This record gives sequence, structure tokens and C-alpha cells, in this order.
Amino acid sequence: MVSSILPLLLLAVPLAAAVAVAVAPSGPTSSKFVEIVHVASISAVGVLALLVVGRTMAGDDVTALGNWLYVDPLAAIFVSLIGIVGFLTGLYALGYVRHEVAHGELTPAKHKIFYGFFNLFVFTMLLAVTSNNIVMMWVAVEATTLGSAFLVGLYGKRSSLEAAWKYVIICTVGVAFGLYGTILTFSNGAEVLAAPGGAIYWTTLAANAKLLDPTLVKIAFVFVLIGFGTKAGLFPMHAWLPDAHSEAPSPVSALLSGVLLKCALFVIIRYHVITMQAVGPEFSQSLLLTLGFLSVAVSAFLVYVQHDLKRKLAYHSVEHLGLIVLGLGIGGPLGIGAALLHAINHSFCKALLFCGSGNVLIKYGTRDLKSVKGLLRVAPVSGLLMMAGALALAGFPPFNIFVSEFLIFSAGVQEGHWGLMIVTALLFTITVAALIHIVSGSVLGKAPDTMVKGDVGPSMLVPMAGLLVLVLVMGVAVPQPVSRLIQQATAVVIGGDRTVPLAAPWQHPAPVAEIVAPARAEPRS
Amino acid sequence: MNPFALLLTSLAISVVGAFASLLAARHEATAIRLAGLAGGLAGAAGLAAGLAALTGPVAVLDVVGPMPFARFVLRLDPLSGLMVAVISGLALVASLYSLAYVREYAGRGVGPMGFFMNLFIASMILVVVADNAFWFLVFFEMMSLASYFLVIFDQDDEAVSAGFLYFLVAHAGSVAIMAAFYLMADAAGSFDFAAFRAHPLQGTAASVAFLLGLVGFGAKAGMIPLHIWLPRAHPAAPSHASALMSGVMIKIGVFGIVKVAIDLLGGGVVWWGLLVLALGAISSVLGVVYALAEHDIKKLLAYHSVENVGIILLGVGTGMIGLASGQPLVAVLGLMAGLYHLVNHAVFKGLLFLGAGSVIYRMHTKDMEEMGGLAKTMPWTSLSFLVGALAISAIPPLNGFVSEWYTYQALFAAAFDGTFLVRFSTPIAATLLALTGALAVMCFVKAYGVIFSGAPRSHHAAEAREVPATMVAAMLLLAAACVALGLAAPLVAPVLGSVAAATLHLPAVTFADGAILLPGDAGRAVLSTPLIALLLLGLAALPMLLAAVFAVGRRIPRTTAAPWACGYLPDGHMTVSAGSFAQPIRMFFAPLYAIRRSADGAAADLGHGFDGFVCRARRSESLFDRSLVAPVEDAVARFGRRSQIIQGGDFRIYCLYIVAALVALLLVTLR
Amino acid sequence: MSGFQIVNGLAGLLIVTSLLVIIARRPTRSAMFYALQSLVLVGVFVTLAGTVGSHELYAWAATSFVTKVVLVPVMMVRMFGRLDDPKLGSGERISPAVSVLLAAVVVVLCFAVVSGVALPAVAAIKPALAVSLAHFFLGLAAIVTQRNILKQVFGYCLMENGSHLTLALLAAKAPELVEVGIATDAVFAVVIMAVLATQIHRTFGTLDADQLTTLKG
Repeated sequence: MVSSILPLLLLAVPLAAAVAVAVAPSGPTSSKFVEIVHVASISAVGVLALLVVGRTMAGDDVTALGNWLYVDPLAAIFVSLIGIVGFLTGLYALGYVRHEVAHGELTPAKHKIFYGFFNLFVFTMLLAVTSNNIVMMWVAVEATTLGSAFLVGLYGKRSSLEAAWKYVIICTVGVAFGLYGTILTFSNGAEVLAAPGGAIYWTTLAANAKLLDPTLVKIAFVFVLIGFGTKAGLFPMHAWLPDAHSEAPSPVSALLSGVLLKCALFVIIRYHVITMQAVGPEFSQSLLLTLGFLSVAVSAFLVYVQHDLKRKLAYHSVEHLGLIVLGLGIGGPLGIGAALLHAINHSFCKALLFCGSGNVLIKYGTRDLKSVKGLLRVAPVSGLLMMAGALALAGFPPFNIFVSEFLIFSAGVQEGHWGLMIVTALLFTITVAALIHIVSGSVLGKAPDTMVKGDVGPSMLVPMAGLLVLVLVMGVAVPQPVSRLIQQATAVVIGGDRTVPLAAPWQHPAPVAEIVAPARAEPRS
Repeated sequence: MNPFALLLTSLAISVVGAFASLLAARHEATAIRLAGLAGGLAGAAGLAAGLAALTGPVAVLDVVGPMPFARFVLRLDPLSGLMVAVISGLALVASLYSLAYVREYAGRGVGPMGFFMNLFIASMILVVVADNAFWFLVFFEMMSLASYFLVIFDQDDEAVSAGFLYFLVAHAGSVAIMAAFYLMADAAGSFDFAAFRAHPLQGTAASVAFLLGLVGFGAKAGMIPLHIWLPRAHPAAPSHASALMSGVMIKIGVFGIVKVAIDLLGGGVVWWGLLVLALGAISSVLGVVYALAEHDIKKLLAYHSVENVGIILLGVGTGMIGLASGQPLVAVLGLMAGLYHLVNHAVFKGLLFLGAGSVIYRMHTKDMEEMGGLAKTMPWTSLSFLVGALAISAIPPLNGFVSEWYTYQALFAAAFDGTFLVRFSTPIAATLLALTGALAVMCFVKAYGVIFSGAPRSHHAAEAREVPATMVAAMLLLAAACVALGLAAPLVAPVLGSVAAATLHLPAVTFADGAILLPGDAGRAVLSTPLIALLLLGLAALPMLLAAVFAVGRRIPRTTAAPWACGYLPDGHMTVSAGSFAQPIRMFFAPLYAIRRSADGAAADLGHGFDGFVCRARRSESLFDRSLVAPVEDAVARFGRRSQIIQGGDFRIYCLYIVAALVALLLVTLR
Repeated sequence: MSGFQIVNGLAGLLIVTSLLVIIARRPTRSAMFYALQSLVLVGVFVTLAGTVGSHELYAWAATSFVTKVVLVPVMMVRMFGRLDDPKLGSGERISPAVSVLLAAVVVVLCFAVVSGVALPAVAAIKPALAVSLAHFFLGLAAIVTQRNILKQVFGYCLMENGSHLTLALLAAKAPELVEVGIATDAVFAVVIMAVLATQIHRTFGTLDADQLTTLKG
């Protein structure tokens, strides 16, 4: 472990930006200033996040503020997600919010509120994933709700206020259970550790997990799973998710679905590590399998019948979070590595689609898929990006979701969950149908005659294109650093020694892979 | 040149051409030329690579792939070489054709069309040479994806909904294939096909994997009852894409079945072959019956693809039976017949789709009822379509006849020994094949007659002109290939036989002796297509020769005039139609017909009964749709709407969900 | 009387005050009762700090006093005073009598659950632990059974107090900064809920949670 100023800087930048935006005088002149602050902040966060990740990958876990902040490869994955997706959706937001203000959907005052809370939201998420202090971790997750509540209700319409209210109530209630899990874990640790104060740190708890009382660990994990599972959008605690995702401005939906859910997931993984160390993997894995499968099963049908584009995508997030959790529940290096990879892939892909839904909203003024027709003809670039995103999410190569889904299914088969995998694959076929409905029903086809042709501006298309490039790159060739990061993170989760270079975590342990094409007799005439 | 170097060149040209076409999208003429040129060059290089691999040793290329978990392995063996050759050959011709044909699509995005076309070709080639399950699936899905975009190219309602169905079936199929590969990977410990071959599955697991593969690849092949997408998707695509889809893409389904059953699982048990045989027989008969009832020329051809996949599967199934029951002759003969028909069908179905495309290019309709008389105005198209129609109807000495002859021989060989079930089912399959052949002739007499003979039935038909030279050249190339594959059968059959033998790991069988074709040994049967050709030519030439010798100087000058119509002006309604064609015979033999009618009333209604059969078959066709896809869709939607209740809108209930989940998990934990 | 017994007694008092918060007809009155309850909570903290000798807990008590006894109630009174929905009335689904009964059931259940937990350090304060848990669930019950969305804010506050007490009982040695974080969250949560409630009142013209059920499916 090395101490570094980087995590502190990483947290300070968005917080300072939020404060700067908040204290900026309102008025037309300041909107420029606000945007500059915003862009500077998200760019800096992006760069700093990658720097922190780089430091982590060099082999040293980064700490700051004593032991309070801690970035290991596992956290690094989520830090980089926040950095990258936050940067791209933040850029997208510039054009989107400008358009909404220009068309009177948002008042100029909301402009300031948006950027202030956007940065605050980024800060809270970063705090959640860099925190080593388990209570702070909870505090940060709770704070993400508070930071994003106004963003969800930004439009001030009846439906958006309703969504914001539901979001705040359900998530605070749910996450409150998470606090119980946190307290139980802490007191459990304080009881048995030589230095009780250390029980507040995840690193200490994970290192001494064997000492903990097994029953309490189990109870704590249940509380954590329910509590943070609410925030991660797992069934049956997912109910806030479609409302909040559909009513929030599209860049915020992208951030919620792409990153926020993963942050809550990250906390669950942290406790999963402790629980696996303390009572063996079966317990937490079976819980994760159950919740993951339920999420996939229920949301597959809800996705299929949904006609509201953003709600459809939101249920998709439930499904894919379910799949990630399923992967974690399957376990083994392959399952965990695949789940982490899927978390990354889903972030990029879903952010792309939610940004695309923003374009649809701008062009058509509705999210009802029955009224949205012929996007490809109305706005060709948006249509193309939407189509690529939908096909990617459906799990087609050469896009990234295919790779990680393939690996999760491989992991399931390898661990012998045959029935589960078959049913899951069938359920995913249902969602493929739902996504192709989007492509064939809304992206293709004839546009309504009243539609004005012309795409949204490049300020919104370029960030989306950036996301598409990421989706493609991760689909065609997982870059070496990413796969190494996932490998190291997997080692963190299964408690392996990271100094020993593992084989890629998803590789089969058996050396059969080395079989060269057998020189079988090739008789010919 | 090393086949892999050629293959990689071909792939590189395709990919470069794809992106070049996309980049040049603004200059449509350039985009068309770039895409066509790239497709043609890639096709030529691929053809060379495939032909070299047909007889060459097995070559494996293992490069460092971009995915750390799956080795990027390509393998060129005789079977994949054959597939590469067929794909590339047809791609070459289709690209030539596209140079002029695609101008029809000007202003509707020819750049993207060229992009998807070239990607489609490249992904098909990669599928057949991929030697790792992961990459196989990647390319398989990419192939589906690229062809999906070609299907929906018109973006009208029919194309979009056809594309939707196509996509869904393709995806469901690939899920099944993935499951089959997972089963094998589980046993082999790796995703490499080499490992699958080294550790083949045994027992029930093998059968499950085979069935999964059969479902997945059968859906791609358009095997009944998984064919529902085919008659809708193929016609929707541009014709040169239809030619590739019908000509080669569905063959990849057949290739997949061979790959899974024979190559990866090592042959299995007899009932696998019987199952394939049964599905092949059903597909061939029903496919042609459905085709008979079609008025849309491209749908008619699409149903014929179902029929011909059925015929190919008859051969493959027989081969599998032979392999599983230890009859090397039957095995090699059957598989060779299947492969031969695979090649032939690619050629003549490609030809027919290109011909149909040419007709549509001038007519702007797919409805055959509005055509007629095109033989005069489009002579080259007419000639090549005729060759294609004769070939698909298995008229000697063309190629369709040869492969069907081998299929019969294989079925007969299997019928001589083997278990009761085999001896029982192969003659039935042979009978059904005969029925299929007869119906196919009938169908193409109708198709050719309605399109090309008689008088034009519409304004467009009257004013049609021959299509541009490149399109004609493409069609003539394929027509020549039809003739060559038939006449040169004594040269082709042994090569395909060696491919089949190598795939089965069995010793080769003699398929030809000089100009004579044999099914293994001359004691069973012999055939000589060159001889038949000579006889046929002689038959036609002899009267002329005689006339030339004996009628010197007595030539009566011919005049061309409108036919005499009893003083009326002749018009289109007076031309010979299918019904009137038979009328004089009925009049002439009226007493005979009367005897038959009085002797056997029911049998006299044979024609009527046949119409009824076709009609019922048509109804059963929509039944597949109604009873396979629709109920599942409805059930999912119904269940989905039911489950929307859980999202009732009241957030206080949602809070209770959380508590309920907590209590449930706690109870499970503390139990 | 030992410190622990005082703690347990005060914890019992918490249940009574939380019932008052729930039953009170007007939001401003509930805010008063909430301040009173928080005062009892601070008392528990101080007693506990003296008993277990935890310096951190004194700091907790101080921050709790500032935030929960002064800041939050003042804010609530000022913001909720302006919001009124005459049509809604008290907005309770179940009568006060049933509420009391329900509370009793919850407390008994929580005692049963806590008695099953074998944590040696908390043997002396099990009643208080049960009360803290019951408190939490009472807050949850308020959220679930009340139609007035302001009451749901109070429900959240009760839950928060309950979990805070649990934290103090089980994690007395946790650093002060943790407590500051939790208190900050609580204050901000109340602020945000109050602002949202104000916006809802302005847009919908009601505080009725039954009106907030249009998003479904």
C-alpha cells in the first residue's frame, strides 16, 4: 500500500466544482462559467481516475487520509467507470441541457442546479467506491441518493416529482437496512479484533474475516444485500429504478444506470469478500444466485411488454445487474471475472442507449415506442448509434456485451449450473426480441410525415460516438490493461495472492487448452 | 501460394472493401464499384484458397487473438475448403452482378449495402474456417447480423417484420448452438474445436449436444419446421444478397450439422442420421409443395431452397447412418451426395436468384402474373434462367441431376443392409425424393412458362429490355457452371468424394472411371453425363443433319406474321396457358378420360385432389407460424403484462417488498 | 441503578415519543415531538458514554444535539408550517389505537429477535438494542401506513434515530467523523425530502401519497 494524494484530489475536484457552481451568481453570464467549471471538473475527474487506476495497476493499492480512502484493483474498476462514463455523459449533458433550456423544458435556474448536483453526484459515487471505512461507505451510498434526487426531479413535472419522491423514500428505506449490516459487521469485528478500532476498515475486516462470528456475518450479509441491493436495482427491491431512470434527464439516466447501480454493487462485492472469507463461499453465492436469477427472470418479461423506451432500458438494467450478480454467485475466477467485465461492458452500453433515448426525446418529444418511428431516417447518426447500442445490448458480436455474456454462461456451465444457464439463456432471448422490437419498430421504418429531418448537434453525438467506440473496442479486443485489471480485481475478490501472476481469470485451469490440432489420419484418394 | 495467405488476402480485401464502400457512400457510383470490386477480388482469392485446400493437407493457423480466453484458430481442411470455395465463388459472381444491379438502389444507401455485403461474405468465410467455439459463434452471429441488415434494407413494413422474425430465429438458433458448444467445452476443457475432437462427448450428452446443434443449425439451414423465417427474409433482401443467402448462407447450417455430428461428435448413433434423413425428406416435399402455390417469384425460389436443403440433408443423413452403422461405402456416398448437391444448389439457386433479380430489375415487381413473354425481350436472362430451372429440376445432363442421382444411389445402398429401421426408411426417403423431383419440374415449368413464354401481361413486360452486360455475364457464368458441374461430373465427383472421405476419416471410394460415374462399384449402377449430353445433342442434331443433307435447295422462305385468330386481333389472353396446354390432349383422348372417369371416379379427381393437397399444405405452412411463434410470443406478452402488477405504482408497497425480501432471506439464513 | 439500566429505561421512553410523532395530527407538532425524542436520544448517548467510558460518544451526543434537537426540528417547523392539505386530514390509514397496538407487537417481535442474538458485549443493553430495532421498524411502519408524505419524512427520521441508536450501542468506539457523516446525511435527507415535498405540494396541490401512483408498469 502506498499513500497518495491522488484519491483526495479525485474527490476534491467534483466537490469543489459543485460548490463553485452553487455559489456562482445566477444569470445568463454565469451559465458559461458554470459549463466551463463542469467541463473542467469532469475532465479532471476522468484524468485523475485513470491516474489512480494506473497507480493501482502498478501493483500498489493506493490509500489516502490515513486508511480512510483505499483504491485496490477492485475499486479501480469502478473508479475508472465513474471517470470515463461520467466524462462522456457529462459532455453529452452540455448539448442536452442547452437544448432543454433553449426550448423552455428547463428554466435557466435549473441549469445551475443540474451542473451543481451532477458534480455532487459524481463526488458521492467516487466517495462510495474509494472509501475503506465501511460506515463512510454507507454514508456515501446514502449520499448518492440525496445527490441525485434533485436530478431525477429536475423537470419539476408531476411525473418527475413523483419519481424523485419514490426514489428518495425507497432508497433511503432500503439503504437504511444496509446500515444495519454495516453496524453488525463493525461490532462483530470490534469484538474479536485485537485493535477494535480497526474493525471500521474493510481492509482489516477482510484480512481477519476468519475470526468473525459466522452467524453474525451471515445476518450482516443479508442486510447488506437487501440494503445495497435496493440501490443496485435487484429484484424485488428494484421498484424505484424504472421510475427514476425514465423521469430523469437522459444524461442522468445514463449515469444512474451506467454507474450508480455498479457503485452499490461494488459495496455488495466488498461484503461478499468478507463473507466468503468468513463462512466459505456457498452462503453468499447462493443468495447472489437467487437474487440475480430472480432479477433476470422478472425483468425479462417486464422489458418485453414495456412500451416506454426509457422504462424498457431501465428494466434492462435490472436484468443485466441480475446477470452480473448471477456471475458473482456462480463464482470461481471465471464467474467473478466475467461478472466484473460485464459490469464494465454494461456501463458503456447502457450509457450509450440512455443518451440515445435523450436524442429520441429531443426529436420526437415522446418516449412511447409506438409513436417513435423511423429514427434512422429522421436523424441518421442518432439512429445508427441507437441501433448499434440496441444490438450491443442484445448481445451480438462484435459488441462487448456478447463477450461478457458468453463468459458468464461459460462460467455457469463450468460450475455445473446447467439448468439455470439454459433458463437464463431463454430469458435473454425474450429480451433480445424486445430489443429488436426497438430496432425494427422505432429505429427503422417510415418516419411520421410531420417529422423535421435533421440530427441533434455534434456536441451530443460525439460523446455517444465515444461510448460506441468503447463498446466496440471492448467487444473486439479487451485491451490488455483492462483484462489485467479484471484479473487483479478477481484476485481481490477470491482472496488470491496478487503477486503471483494468475492465468487470465477466465482461462480454464486444465491444460487441455494447449492441445494442438491433432494429427489425425487424413485419408484421401 | 499458401491457402492461408490467399484466405487472409480475401478477408482483408473484403474488410477494406466494406469500409471503403461506407466511406465512399456519398459518391454512390464509386461506392458500388468499390464494393463490387472488393467482393469480386475477395471472391477470387477465396476461391483459389478453397480449391487449394480441397486436396491440400489440413492447415491450422493459430494467431494471438485479441481475447485472452479464446485462441484465434483458423483451420482449412477439405470440408471447410469446399465451403470457402463455394462461398467465394458465388460471392465473386454476385459481386460482378452487383456492379450494375445495385444502381437500382441509388439514393437508398448503396454505401452501407456494400459495407454489409462485404462483411457478410467475410463473416461467412470466417465461420467455416474458425476452429474455436467462441470465434465460431462470433462470426456466426456477425453473419446473421450483416445479413439482417441486407434483409431490412428496403425498410418497408414487410422487410422490417421479416427481418425481425429472421433475427429472432437466428438468435434462438445461436443460443442452441452455444449450448451445444458449452456441453462439448465442458467435457473438453477448452473452447478449441481441436480439443472437442480429441475428447468427443459420449452417450446422452452427445445426443443432447447433437440435438441442440441440429436445432441451431437447422434453423439457419431453413429446415422444416424451423424454416418460417426463410421465405420471408430471402425475398426481402436485394437479389444478389438473396442469391448469397439462399445459395450459401443456409448451407452453413448444413455445414454446421456436418461439423457437429461428424467432425466434433465423431458420428454418433444411427438414429441421428435417421432424424436428419426424416427432416430432410419432410423439408424437401413440403418445400416444393409450398413453392408450387407461390406467385411471388422470389418466395417461390426461397421455398425451393427449403426443398433443396431437404435433399442435401437426405444425403447427409444417409452418410451419418452409414458412419454410425459401420458401412463406409454408404457413409462416403451419402455425404458426398449431400456435398455435391450443396455445391450444385449454390450454383443454380444463385443463378435463379440473379435471374429473378434481373427480371425484377426491369419489371419492378415480384409478381409473376404480371410478367410473361420475356424470352423475346430478355433472351440472355431467359436462357440462363432456363438452364438454372433445368438444373434445379434435375434434368440430365445438368448438375442437379448428378447429385440427385448420387443421393438415390446412397439411399439405395443404405436400403440393402442395415437395421430394419434403416431398410424401412431409406426407400421411403427415395420415394419422397422422386415425388419432390416431379413436383419441382412442374413448378419450374410453371415458373419459366409464366415469366418468359407467352405474351407480355403488363406494360412493363412489353417494354422490358435485356439487363446490363455485367449482370448477363454473371448469370452466364453460373449457367456455364451448371453445365460444367454436370458434364464434368466424372472429374468433380472424385474430388468431392475425397472431401467426404476425409471428413468422415474413411478410405476413399471410387466415384468415377473415365467418363463413367459409379456409386462405389460398377455393379450397382453407372451413369455418364458426357454420354447423355452427346446423345441429347445427337438427338437434336440428327434431324437437322438429315434435313441439311436431303433438303438442299428446297428451302421454303419463312415469313413472320401475327398468328391467325379467326379474324380477330391476337392478344395475350389467347396465348397458351397451363390449362389450355392440356386441353387438346383431353379432347383427343376424351374416350379414354371417359372410361377412366366411369371406372374410377375418385382417381379421375386426381388433379383436383392434388390441388386440395397443395391447399392444405399451404394452410399447414401458416400453422408453423401460428403454432410455433405466435403462442410463445403471446404467452410471453401475457405473462409480462401479468407481472406488471408488481410494479403497481404505490411506493409504500415497494417498501414492503424490501421488508419481505429481508425477512425471507433472514429466515433462509437462520433456519 | 447502573448506567445500562438508565439506557434501557430511556430507550423505552423513545418508543413512547416516537408513537407521539406518528400519532400527532399536525406536522409541526410532530416536529416538536421529534425534537423531544432526539433529546431523549442524546440522553441515551450521554449515559452510554459515561457507562462505557467512550469519549467518542460524548462527541456524538453533541452533534446529535445540534442536528437533531435543534437544526432539523427548526427546519421542519419552518418548512412544514407552510404546507397544508386540508382534504387529506391526518392522513393515517390506521387509527392511533391500532398504531399503539402495532408498536407493541413490533417491540415484542424485536425483543424476540434480539434475544436470539449471541453478542457478548451487548448482553447488558439488549432491551435498548431491541428498542432501537423496534424504533427503526416503527419508522418504516409510519412510511408504509401514512398517506401524508410529511409523515413519511418523520418516518424516515424515526428510522434514522433507530439505526443511530443501534450504531451507538454496538459501535460505540467508532470514530467521530463517522457520526458526522451520518448526521450530515440525515440533515440533507430531511432537507431534500422537505424541498421535494414543497415542490410536490406546489405542483400537485396535495400531500397525499395516494396521488403519487401514476408511474406504474
